Amino acid sequence: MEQFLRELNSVFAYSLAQALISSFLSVAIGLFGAFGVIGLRQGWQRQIGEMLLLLPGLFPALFIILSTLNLIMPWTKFPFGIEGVEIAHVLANFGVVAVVLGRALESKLGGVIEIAAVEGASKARTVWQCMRGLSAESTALFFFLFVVCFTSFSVPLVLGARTGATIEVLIYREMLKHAALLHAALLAIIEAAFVFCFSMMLRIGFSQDRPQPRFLRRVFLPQAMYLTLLVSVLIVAGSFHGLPAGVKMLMSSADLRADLFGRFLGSLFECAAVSVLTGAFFVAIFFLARRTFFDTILAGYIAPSLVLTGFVIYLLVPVEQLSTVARLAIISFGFAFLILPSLYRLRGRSMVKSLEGQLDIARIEGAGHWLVFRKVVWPQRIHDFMWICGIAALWASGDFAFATLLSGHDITLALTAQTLMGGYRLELATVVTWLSLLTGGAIFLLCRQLGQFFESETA
Amino acid sequence: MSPKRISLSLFFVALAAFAVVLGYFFRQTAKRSAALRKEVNIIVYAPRSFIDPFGPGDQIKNDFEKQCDCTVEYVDMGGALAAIQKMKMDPKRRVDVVLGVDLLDLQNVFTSVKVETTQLPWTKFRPQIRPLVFPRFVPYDWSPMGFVYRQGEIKPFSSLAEFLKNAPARSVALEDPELSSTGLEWLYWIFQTQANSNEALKSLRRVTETVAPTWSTAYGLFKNKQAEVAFSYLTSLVYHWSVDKDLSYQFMPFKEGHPMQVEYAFVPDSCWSCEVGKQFVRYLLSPATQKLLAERNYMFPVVENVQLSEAFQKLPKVEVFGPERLQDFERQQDELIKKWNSF
Repeated sequence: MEQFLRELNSVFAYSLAQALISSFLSVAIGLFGAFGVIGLRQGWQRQIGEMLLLLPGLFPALFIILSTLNLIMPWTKFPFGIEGVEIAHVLANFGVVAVVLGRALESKLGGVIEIAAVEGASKARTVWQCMRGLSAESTALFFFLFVVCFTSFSVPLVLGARTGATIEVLIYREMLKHAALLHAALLAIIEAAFVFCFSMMLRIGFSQDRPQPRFLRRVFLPQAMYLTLLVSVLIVAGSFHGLPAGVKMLMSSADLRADLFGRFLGSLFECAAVSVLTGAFFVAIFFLARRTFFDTILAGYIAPSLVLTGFVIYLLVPVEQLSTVARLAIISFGFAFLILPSLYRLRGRSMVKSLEGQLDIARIEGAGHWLVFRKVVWPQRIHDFMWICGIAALWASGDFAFATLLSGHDITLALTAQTLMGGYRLELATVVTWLSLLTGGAIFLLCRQLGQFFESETA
Repeated sequence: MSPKRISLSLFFVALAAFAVVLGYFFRQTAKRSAALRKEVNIIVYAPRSFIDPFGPGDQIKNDFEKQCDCTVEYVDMGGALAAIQKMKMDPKRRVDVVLGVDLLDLQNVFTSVKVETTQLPWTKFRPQIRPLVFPRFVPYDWSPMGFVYRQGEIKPFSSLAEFLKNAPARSVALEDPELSSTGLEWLYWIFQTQANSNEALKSLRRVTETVAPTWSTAYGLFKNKQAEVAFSYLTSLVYHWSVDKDLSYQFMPFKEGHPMQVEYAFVPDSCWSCEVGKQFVRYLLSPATQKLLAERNYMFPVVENVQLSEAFQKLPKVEVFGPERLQDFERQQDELIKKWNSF
């Protein structure tokens, strides 16, 4: 017990330091990148740019690790340990920050930029004021990423060595070495309690107004656009390593292609189901939007420890006796539930907050939940709503960590990629990972199209 | 066509695709349910490499199902260690066969899981394997382990002591001995061959680039040239020579000898179809299955007289050591890991 507590103490300190540094650097670089993202024209250019920035965060752990290594290794030996974990976390997350803050900049600060232009403020001063204007969003993102990095598992497991382990890694070690359910549960409770307390200190949401894009060119920083896109392209390019050899391997085996088709359908099912379920969860959230307790729970709740969940699910669910559809349905439901708080913090909370005034007035006027949703929420937020559903699908396409707990064997492309990485065929795993991400990407684009369609219908 | 119509069409195409997917899975489910209704059915906990699309699992399952009129269901439990811990936590859960347990994990299994005895027919095991056949644990493939490298990237050494002393700093990808059985293998190697294991571990730390949680991660890093050397199987070369057609991958045979990974199968007493489970374990030793395991799992067969491909014949001959000091090692394992972690 004494040794366990000593280990917990050091791992907690490392986790905390690592998460603080990773999330701070991600937000700082992402904030800079946001002033580049706004230079991307709406339409396909914007969609591709955003996808490039979001992709690194969606790669399986080994891919982001290999891409990170490919990026760093030509210059120096990779610093395995806490520094290595921080580098991988920053590279995986700064794109999300750039995209989200870019959107916040567009929707929130048009007025400020207009006044600054009229008053004759310099570009540097205007950019600085915009950065200050985004402080609430940056803080919310900092918290979001802090939770992601603090509870990170795969990256610290591979890159962390002994000095970069997180509490999740310690839970994994405890379970694998000693099947110490009690120790693992204790660690999971400590982790959840800490994140919950942290969330109480930082109850900050986003605010959104209508977009005022015409003044945005005044704060557009081309260097930020080139730099953030270049880094994203390098990371994404790193994940192409071995792609031609993998395609050749795939083309040479008809059996494998047939196998992969079934798993592609599994991925399609999971992505679509997660997207639909996320939509359903968010409809429920909007029906309960004004309940402070509900908001507190969602903003403070973190998904339970993945490793512990895995062992507990094993004890509760006889996976091997379920059909493939049942497994996929449970995986989809569980995954949608696990990512719900992240999506809520990332975008949902700002959606709720931005409509608070209107919701209050509508309810004082006596409008029912359904009427409020149909007349107030839906027309104004359908675009964001579908974006969230799309992001959920994209995340689901890269999920193997949760799916592997319940799948029993490979039923999706992400699981197959993970299995192939476990053998010698890393090149083929690259192809399968890309197929998996394309499946999620297709659903993401479909959701965005639908969002635009519904928005234009209700306009 | 207007964007609205395109969006609507896309939406309906997606709906149709979703319906097709659902239909496909319901068909699969119906098939599976029919299979489950068969009287005999075995659940096999298997490692990923065994059941991946290129692994031997599917072929073995099909061949065995034909001969026993039963169904085999593989379940990936995330590695042998995880499977053992899960069985420890839920000892009554139905499992008919467990595959992929390493020689160094047998004691752990023996103390935590009740195992049935599997009677074997007379089998001519390879000489290296003969002392390692136990009534409850049946070996089905094996390979010596050591350092794999690419020619031109590092100078090969002929002894472990020399390697530890002179190999370039931060050049080796190792596995974590706490999380992976291949990690335990190198620890056993140091323990078995180095008089001063403390010093040897310190030297090994100097030459280590990273300690990965699994063999696949360590080897993935090595394959991507993030390390010059990886601790792996002698038979890894067979994959590179025959599939990649890359002869630059080589093995460093050391005069001190090498540890060997032996993979075992066993039938736990939580089995339902115990007899069919034992039949499956025996089936792994048939010459055809042994050949399949060698070709698709890239490991040596455990029985004699299995015809192997040319790449296997060309592998360097290495000395291996047996389990003579295994019990001593098991007693000192935690202490060694603690030492390793302290460097």
